[in-house]
Amino acid sequence: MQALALEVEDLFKSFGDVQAVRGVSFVVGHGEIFGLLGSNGAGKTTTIRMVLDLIQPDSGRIAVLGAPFGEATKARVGYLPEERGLYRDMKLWDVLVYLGQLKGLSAALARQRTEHYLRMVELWEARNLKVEALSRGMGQKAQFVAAAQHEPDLVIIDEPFSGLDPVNTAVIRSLIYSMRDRGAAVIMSTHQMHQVEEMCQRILLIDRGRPVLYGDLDEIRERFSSNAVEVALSGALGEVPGVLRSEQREDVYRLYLAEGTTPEALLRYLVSAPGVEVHRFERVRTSLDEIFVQTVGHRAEGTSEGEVAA
Amino acid sequence: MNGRTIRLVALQTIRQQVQSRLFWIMTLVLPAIIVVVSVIAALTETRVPQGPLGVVDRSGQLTIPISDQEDGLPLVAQPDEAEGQRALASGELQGLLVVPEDYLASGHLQYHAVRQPASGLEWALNRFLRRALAPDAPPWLADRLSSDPAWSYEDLASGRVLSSGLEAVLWGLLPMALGMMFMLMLSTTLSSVGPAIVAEREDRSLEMVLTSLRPSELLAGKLLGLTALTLLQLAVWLLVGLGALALGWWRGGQGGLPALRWSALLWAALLGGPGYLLYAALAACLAILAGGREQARQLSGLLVFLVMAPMFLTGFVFMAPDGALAKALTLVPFTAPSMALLRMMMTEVPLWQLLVALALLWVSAALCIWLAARLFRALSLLYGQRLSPRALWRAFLGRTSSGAGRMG
Repeated sequence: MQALALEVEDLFKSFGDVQAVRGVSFVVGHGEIFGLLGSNGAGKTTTIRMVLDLIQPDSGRIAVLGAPFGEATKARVGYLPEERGLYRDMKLWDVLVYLGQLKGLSAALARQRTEHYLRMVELWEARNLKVEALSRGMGQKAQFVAAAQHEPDLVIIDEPFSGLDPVNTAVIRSLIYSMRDRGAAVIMSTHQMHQVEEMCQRILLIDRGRPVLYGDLDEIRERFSSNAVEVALSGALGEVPGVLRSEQREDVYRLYLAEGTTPEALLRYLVSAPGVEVHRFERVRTSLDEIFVQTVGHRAEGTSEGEVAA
Repeated sequence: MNGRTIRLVALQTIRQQVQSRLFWIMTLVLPAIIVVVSVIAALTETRVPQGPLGVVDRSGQLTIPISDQEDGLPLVAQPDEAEGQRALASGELQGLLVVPEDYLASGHLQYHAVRQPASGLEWALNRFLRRALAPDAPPWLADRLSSDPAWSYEDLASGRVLSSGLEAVLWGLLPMALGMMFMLMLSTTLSSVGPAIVAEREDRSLEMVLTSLRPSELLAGKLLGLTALTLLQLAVWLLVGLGALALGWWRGGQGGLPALRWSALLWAALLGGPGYLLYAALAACLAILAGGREQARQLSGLLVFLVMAPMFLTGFVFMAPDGALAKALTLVPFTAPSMALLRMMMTEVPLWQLLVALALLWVSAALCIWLAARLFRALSLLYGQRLSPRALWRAFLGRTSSGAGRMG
């Protein structure tokens, strides 16, 4: 059985009097895109830096690809830091070949992979430009190539889409999917919730250093679901049994169901109601944005810190 | 430490430096100066005035030929100095040589010219004056009188016999030239060490790079690359210097090759290697403390003072090459390479002093490299944090968790 790509257990880290990370635990499997979420200063980057052995935890256990982060694992890990930067006075091609070689690729393979990935992210024409001459988006894609070209088994990407236009976002997204499809574990730290909703299977939400939500994204959304449905219909909708309240926007109604009322029962009622024609019926799913605000917002208001909701 | 990784970093450092204009300026300016000086010297060496030169002999001891064309000197006897000055002012003469009454006793001469006398003129006039004292001498005697004697010197320490002139000068000056070259090399290359050390931090690529290698490997690779480049620079300088020397040797009509003081070259290499590493590691420490490229470049200026210290003390050392100050500075690692070489020009430096200096140099270079590696590690641990001296010191001591930190 293949070991987990990453195991983090009860991680703690303080800077002076500030507890940056408090008891963070999570695992990431191969072939998974995992979302690491949290507001600014929540402890995400500190956690990532501890995973990558850039800083030492005060306590806790980290296993990267089945072992503590070390010489053997360095070449199997890719990292796109939040703070972007490459050797600015060098040509893009030279920088990427060098970084590929540092990750254990031979010179020939590094050149081959650099060419392949530069073409993939549409930067081949810019290969002879100095890094300082690249636009922000180009620089970000170049850095993504540096994190991906050695085809690592674990990739940690911090805010991969910030500053990218929709076209480049799509390019990077497809690159992330291709990494996942070849079995790599991808940890994505981001504020862009819609990207997480679209791409991640599981998430960990950290707030002020503490893990507050962890698990399967669908299950979490289910848990936060408001038991409401959205219906587009024509005809007059009178009082509907089992509905607590309703909101109307043109011909679209959002109906909040009473406890014990199921969407299926409501649909049956509406279909059989005289003078009503249902065009669209769907369950309202709570967005990750709402979950984030609900969870972190509550805690920010001073509610007690409970156990991780998993 | 991983040798392959260190080699990659060294090559990357070399590539970065070679792509910078500053490196080529530093590498080529000194040779360019040598070439220009050599060319100017070659062009002006044998240039003697094309027009006539006046001679006023107040001593009455010289038999002055109206014209001495042997050395290309068109000499014209002048009745008195006033007439000579008039002819000089009117442009009839290019120069006026006045031989005073007491010339035979004092050897004093006066030369008047509107422009600086050409090099080689003095040598030609000396030949003329010697021959003019004995105009009736047979040709063999006249030749001997007008030619400088050819000396041979034996260096008892090495048993080497040296011919006079350039070879003897080279033999004596080589150690000092090497010492000066060491100081010059450090002065010009130290300014590139600091910026290279902090490049990743300034370019914000340190975090990414450190997931591929250890901080000590990054530092070792950079120092190795910079050392290789310095050796390349030195090789260029030496090649051009030796070329200029060979040109001078050849123009002097010498055969074969001049004798080289190999012991000086050997000690220059033995002391220069750890000497460079010591200063490079110190420059690295200062750069890490400075945090940025520009600050690192400025701080390296402080080290140049230390590098040049033996130069300021040369006078004292020349007066007492075996004195306490000279001995002490030979043993102090910061001044050992240049001071030992400077002293070699004037005295036989005892072997024990050279060996102790060498040992102390290696120990201090190793200590500085260790210190730089610790500081570099601390710098990487403080990644993303404010680089205050206190935070750096605590990181240096391994107390990384108690510094002020930025979280994310």
